[in-house]
Amino acid sequence: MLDKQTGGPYAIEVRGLTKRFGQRVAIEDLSMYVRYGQIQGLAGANGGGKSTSLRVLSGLLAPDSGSAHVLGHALPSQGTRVRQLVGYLPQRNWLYSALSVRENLLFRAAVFDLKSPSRAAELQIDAFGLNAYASNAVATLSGGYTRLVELAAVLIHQPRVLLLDEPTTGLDPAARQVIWRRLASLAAQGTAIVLSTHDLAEAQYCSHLILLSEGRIKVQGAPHEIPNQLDAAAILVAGHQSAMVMESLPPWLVMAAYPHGNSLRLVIARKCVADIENRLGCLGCLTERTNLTLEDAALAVAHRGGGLG
Amino acid sequence: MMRRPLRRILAVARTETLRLLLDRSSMGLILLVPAVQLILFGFAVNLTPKNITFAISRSCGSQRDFILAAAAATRAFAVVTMDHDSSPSHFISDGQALVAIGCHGETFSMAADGSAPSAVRPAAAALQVALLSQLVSTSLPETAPHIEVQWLYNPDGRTSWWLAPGLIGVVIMISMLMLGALTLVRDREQGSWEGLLATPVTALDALIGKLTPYVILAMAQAAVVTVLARWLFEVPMLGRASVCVMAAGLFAIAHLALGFALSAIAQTQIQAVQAAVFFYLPSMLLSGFMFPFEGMPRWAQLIGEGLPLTHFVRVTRNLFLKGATAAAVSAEMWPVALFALGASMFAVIAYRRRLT
Repeated sequence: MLDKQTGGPYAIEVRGLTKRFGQRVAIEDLSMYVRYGQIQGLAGANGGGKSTSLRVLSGLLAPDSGSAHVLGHALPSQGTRVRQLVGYLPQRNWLYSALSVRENLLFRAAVFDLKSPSRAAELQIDAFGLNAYASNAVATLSGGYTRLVELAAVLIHQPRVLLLDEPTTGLDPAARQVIWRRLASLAAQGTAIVLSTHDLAEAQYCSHLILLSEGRIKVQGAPHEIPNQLDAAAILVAGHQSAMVMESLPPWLVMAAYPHGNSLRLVIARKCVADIENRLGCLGCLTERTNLTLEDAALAVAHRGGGLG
Repeated sequence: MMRRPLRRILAVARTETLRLLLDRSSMGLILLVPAVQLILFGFAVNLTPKNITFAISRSCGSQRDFILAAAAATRAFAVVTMDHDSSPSHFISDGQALVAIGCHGETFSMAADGSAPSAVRPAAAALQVALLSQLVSTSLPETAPHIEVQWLYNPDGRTSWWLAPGLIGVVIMISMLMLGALTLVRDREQGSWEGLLATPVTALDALIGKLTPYVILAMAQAAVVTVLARWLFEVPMLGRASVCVMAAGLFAIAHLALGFALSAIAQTQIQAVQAAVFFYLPSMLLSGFMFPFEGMPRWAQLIGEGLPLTHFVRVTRNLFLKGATAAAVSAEMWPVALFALGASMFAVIAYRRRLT
């Protein structure tokens, strides 16, 4: 299928992909089309199917049904070719921890058959500002630097598709910004990026976002459009009785509730807003309608039933 | 220009070698353990019965010197008592001796402790032969036939000469099986396997690249045991040491590949180690390294023939003591090569299964 916007092929085409582990459905009927230069985010609760989707796209897992093409190569039949072309960043630390940063990069450059592995390694060391640590064992680096080295290793063969499983988890804000700036720069150069994240503030940086729950796509679109696609609303509850709110409301009415400063933030079905405001008013609580955020949307999606229209 | 698979294999082998060299304690153990085992086995284990406690009943009276001479000829006994009238079986049941003898006129009656057959049985048999031999030569001094036995290859019957060559196989088998079994499962637990799977490195690249450094290590182990066996126990090396080292390489591949396959299947290091132990214990028992192969029932011999250690033990003993030629070694090693091929195929399939 050709991209209507550019007239060219998609970097990644996935249609009706399903993967089960025994009885458990990891992903079901997943479809997505990722353009070159696009940052495609996958968000959702644990077990939603984010990592499995990335592992299938990287050629590490064979799907049970559906079709997937990465850079025009079918999976899983052309998995070896796909693994040569993409850069996949697993969720866990995966470098050889006893080896130095330089040795790890040299290894990646050699197995990806680069003409001059040592030159490629030095280029990455320079590009990622790793000169001071190049001879240090990876095990001695902080979490942020380890992730940076992993990203440098994944990018060493200049892949046109990047598959990143929670690339910034556990990093401080400064390290996250370094990685996001680099991802934005790569996307600007035409690299297609698919990444999973739990951080919905970061998910805003994606050009397109899919919220997954129990292996299925619940909602997708540009991050700022996603809250509007849900039949959900958010209200802030204040007053000395706000602590009693959860005991006073039937559980099925509330999709999510969490503290918001001195107030309580409730995510509820849009059609129930008036009813809940009345119930809370009787309790002596003050309520205020507010915009649904991406985090509210993710919580609504994770809630059983999804709260979708 | 170097071909792609070769470059990948070399990259994996280089990385694995570096990791091995950085793990100095493991590296030291791999080379130290064979030396310690050889010293322990070589000096401590002696299959020739010695100092078997021996009692002669007072009933033997004038025949005592005759019996003592026969016992001395066997060099297996230490006489503990000659002054009691007990029956031979009482000496044994009282715990005074492992072998005892009594006399009734011209008849000797002997009793032996069957609860320790490995030492007592050959000693008792030797005493029986010595007594008969003396009886024949005293009753027929002129016409008694003289039987001369020529012991070839190990004239003094030194246990270390028989043990050390086989020990090369046992040391390599255990260490290579364990190293192979831990290689992937350790990487999986540390997370680095997923990183490797996500590269163009194929199952065969990984197998060859990861195992090559260990094969070289196994050859070094063979060299260490060979040198120490020559130096400490004067075990002769009548064949070519280089052939022994090459055969050790092939033998190591067989066990590394099997370990690699177990590693690809196992979920944890403990599972992988248990599977390795499940393989190497029967190998030690059924290979002829510890117990006579010829004495085993046919079915056990058939199992033994399928084990690489059986063939390698024969090869090393023949190389050291008989000066086996390279051709003879090749003829004995083909089942090991076949095993290595089968184990490698199993390993590649097990590795690929991880990609589904």
